[in-house]
Amino acid sequence: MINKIKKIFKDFGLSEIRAGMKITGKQLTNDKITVQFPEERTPISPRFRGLLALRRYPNGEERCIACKLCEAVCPANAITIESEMRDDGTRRATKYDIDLFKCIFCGFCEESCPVDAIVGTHIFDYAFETREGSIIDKEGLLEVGDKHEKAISKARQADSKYR
Amino acid sequence: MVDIEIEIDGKVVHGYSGETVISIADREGIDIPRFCYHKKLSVAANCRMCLVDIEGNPNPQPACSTQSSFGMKVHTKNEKAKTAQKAVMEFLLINHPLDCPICDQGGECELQDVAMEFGSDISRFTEGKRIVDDKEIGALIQTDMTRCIHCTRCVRFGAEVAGIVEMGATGRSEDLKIEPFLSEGIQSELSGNMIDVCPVGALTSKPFRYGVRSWQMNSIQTIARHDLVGSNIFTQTHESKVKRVVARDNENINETWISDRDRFSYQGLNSDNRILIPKIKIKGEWQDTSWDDALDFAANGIKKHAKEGSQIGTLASKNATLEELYLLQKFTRGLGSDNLDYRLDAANPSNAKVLESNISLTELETIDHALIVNSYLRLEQPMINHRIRKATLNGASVSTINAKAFDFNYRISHSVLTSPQNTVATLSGVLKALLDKNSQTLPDYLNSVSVHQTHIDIANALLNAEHPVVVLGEHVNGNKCSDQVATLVSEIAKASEAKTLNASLTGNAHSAERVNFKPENGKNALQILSSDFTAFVLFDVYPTFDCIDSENAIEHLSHDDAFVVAMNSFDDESVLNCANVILPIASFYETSGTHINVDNIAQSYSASVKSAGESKPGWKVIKVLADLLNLQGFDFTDSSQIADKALSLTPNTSEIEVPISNSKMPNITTVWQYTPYASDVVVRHASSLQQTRIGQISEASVCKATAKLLELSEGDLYKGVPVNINESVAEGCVFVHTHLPRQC
Amino acid sequence: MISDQAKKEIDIWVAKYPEGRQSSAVMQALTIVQKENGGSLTNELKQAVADYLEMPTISVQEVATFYENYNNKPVGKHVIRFCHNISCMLNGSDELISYLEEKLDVKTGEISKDGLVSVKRVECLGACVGGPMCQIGDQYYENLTKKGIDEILEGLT
Repeated sequence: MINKIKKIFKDFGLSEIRAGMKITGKQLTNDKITVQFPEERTPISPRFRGLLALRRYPNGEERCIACKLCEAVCPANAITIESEMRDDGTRRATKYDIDLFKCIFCGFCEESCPVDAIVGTHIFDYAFETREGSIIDKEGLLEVGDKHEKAISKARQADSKYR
Repeated sequence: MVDIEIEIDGKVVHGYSGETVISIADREGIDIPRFCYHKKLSVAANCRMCLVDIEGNPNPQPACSTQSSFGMKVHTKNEKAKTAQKAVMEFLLINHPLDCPICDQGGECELQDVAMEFGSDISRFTEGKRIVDDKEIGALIQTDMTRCIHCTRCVRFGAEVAGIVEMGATGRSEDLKIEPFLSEGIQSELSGNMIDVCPVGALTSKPFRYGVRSWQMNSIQTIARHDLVGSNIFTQTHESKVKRVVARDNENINETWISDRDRFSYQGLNSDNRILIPKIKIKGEWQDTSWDDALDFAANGIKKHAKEGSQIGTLASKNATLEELYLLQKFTRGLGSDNLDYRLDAANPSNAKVLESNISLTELETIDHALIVNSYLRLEQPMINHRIRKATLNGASVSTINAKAFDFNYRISHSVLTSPQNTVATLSGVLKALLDKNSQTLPDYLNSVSVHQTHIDIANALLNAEHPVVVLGEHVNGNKCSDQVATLVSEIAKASEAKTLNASLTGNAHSAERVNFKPENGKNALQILSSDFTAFVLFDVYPTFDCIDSENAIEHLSHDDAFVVAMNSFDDESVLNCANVILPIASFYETSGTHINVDNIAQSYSASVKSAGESKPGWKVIKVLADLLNLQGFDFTDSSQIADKALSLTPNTSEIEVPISNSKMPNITTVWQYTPYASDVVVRHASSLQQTRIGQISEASVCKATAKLLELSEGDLYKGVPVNINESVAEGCVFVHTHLPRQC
Repeated sequence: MISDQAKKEIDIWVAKYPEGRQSSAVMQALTIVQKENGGSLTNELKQAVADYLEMPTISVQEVATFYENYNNKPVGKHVIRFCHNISCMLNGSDELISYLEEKLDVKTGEISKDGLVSVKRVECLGACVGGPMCQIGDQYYENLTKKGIDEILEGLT
């Protein structure tokens, strides 16, 4: 009996709503943690492995020497390289294709690269509209690298002491 | 040779007294790291990588130069040996650059492998590394001398195997360099083997440079078809292209070496000049067509023009496979014709008995005298020449009867310069001297022969030798009296109890002989090409290069009534001019086949890569053509069935007597020899070989007296080849050595 | 290329070795030819020696570049061959060589401007007891000091 009366008081006294509003009121003045993607982004670890890119040296020379170690180590066979001697006698890739459908972002290519040419960027939100679009060629990879070089080198810098 | 017992790593093993520890270990499968030791080269013991601990010795000893003795206890993997090996490795890596990612040797590098096991993670060497300038040593070998670890394998290879000492170790201590005297390019015809012996990436293949990595390629066991040795090779392929050729060990055939021709000819396969699509000529215009149409066109043309076989002639390249030659002769004979031949370069393709070879390649090493007749053996058959050179290193002597004093890589004790027209007389002289010495009765034809002192010298050398050999070479093919020369050579061999080696049957000619790819009663190559036949079948024939009388041949092939079916792998202007239909066939390494070598060893091989474009293996093309013409007995489904059938045949041995007579020959003759890199169509398209010093040879050598008669002076063109007047040529002949097409 | 006189001298050395081993005389041959050519060897001379002794040219080159007493580049009238090995070094050869270079305004391996002198660092000449030392022509100069060097240089004409 006594319990029934207690319940009636509780229900008509809006105690649960008050408890809920109390939390709402408390949070009203706190900082928000919702991120407004894509205008806002969550922080990413320097080791994050996103879209791949090819880097250049500061003088503009491409880093890749077509040693094909990344091609050999790639567990998904996503990389295809063809190489040739450039006129100045250096070894260069004439073709460097990555099939993004195959790529599993394991980062082995980055790990195996002796000249830090192929790297994972922090880009994970990319799209392509055609089937062939999944294959990104050397020019495309270099373009990504050029565009994000600052972020890439910053990430390498941050991680360097653990390598 | 006493059988002794030693202990390596606790395992009791047997060896011969005096045998080195490393060679016993190799036989027993015990791994000892090494760089300078090579089983086919002398022991230098200068890399020190093979240091092992031998009980009783205070210091570790190099396994490659330490001779085993009874009861020796060797440890290759104990603390002492390992420490020594690691220390040596550290020293070797001091000056070796860390450029494995761009090094073509990467992945198949002995230094890389050994460094994985014995190298340290961290270098203690902080000073600057040594840098050595690269040397330009020709179109075949790329140098990166900074990578050199001074094992001197290439130096020893030059001195001991190639016979031309070109590389050397100059300077001393830190300035020591491996280099040639002047950067003029390597001259040896075996130079490519330096790439194989180099344990690091200092010497790598230039045509292969920066193409593919070693781990990307498939290695396929196959046979090289350019010469009569049939060297065992691996073709290394990537994406259906042959990327490189390396030697495969076969002690009985090519040991571990191959000639540059075998190594670099693969470049020709990837040339732009391949025929990729069947073509037919309609009203003088070439048009591409389908296989069905082209084969129908060819079959109908043959039906119409062959006239029951009486009017058809078949010519094939001597580099064709056994299967192709077998089917082609079956095809021609099935059509009712006996007009077929492979001896396109023969001035006298007679039916006389072919000089047989009765000495094996390994036996050649044991000879003590060789008489080389009509041959520049070093360039013609490098692997045979190499065996003879090995014999000379053991004390054998060599004499020659040639039109020119050639540059052999061993000393020639007696040499007779003789023009083709005098070859019979010279050989008769030698034979007479031999028979005189043996006090045998002379046959009539020798009575009027004059004997010179050199003839007697050669006869003496042959008689004094226990195991002499007479080698007959390629130049005899261009001689109008080739049958007499061959007969005399065999008589000389008989009189001196010498073995014979017929090096004039180049390429796969032994296969052609096996399947009787020559007429019994019909017309031979010369007759076919000057006949008014109305149908011809050409199998990989390129008249401008291959036919001895090319102008005449082209004229007869291209007359209006003639219907010419050409099965070719390469484009060629003369074929385009005379053929009516071109069926593209697979080239070397693209077809399965069989090669019969000078020892009569038949070696079958499978295709290494897909045929280029739409081309098909030759045997399939012939089979389908035969089916279209309703010929019987062509129901083969793969090439091994054909090979079995072909190998069951025995060559017809003719017993025709060849009279030795003073045949009328012109006063001045020409000996035409192609450089080894123009000897067949594939190698002619190998661009790197053409840029070598041997590939660039083009000179017509003539002596002063003959030059005067011909009114030639230095630098004139003789048949399109620049004249070089020197006295190393026999009087009465012009020796043309060139890569240019033959002119009459 | 090689004068008859030189050939005669080389033949004396060739005769000292068994027949067919004429290449053993290569060091003497190079010495003779070098002397005749004013103290240095050229590629043509090495080629000529190789042809005369019937040996590969590269083998001659190996000998000529290995030993210090052959000069593969033109040298001055007098070659000062300064030892820089252990005994001489401990006794201050490095300092003396720098002094010499400064005084003559010439670097080791080069010829002075007047063409009179060139300086070469060489390995031990076997006179450690008198280090630092140098060799000029056939003469050894031992226990050298800066003053001693001045005197020697004055004597060179």
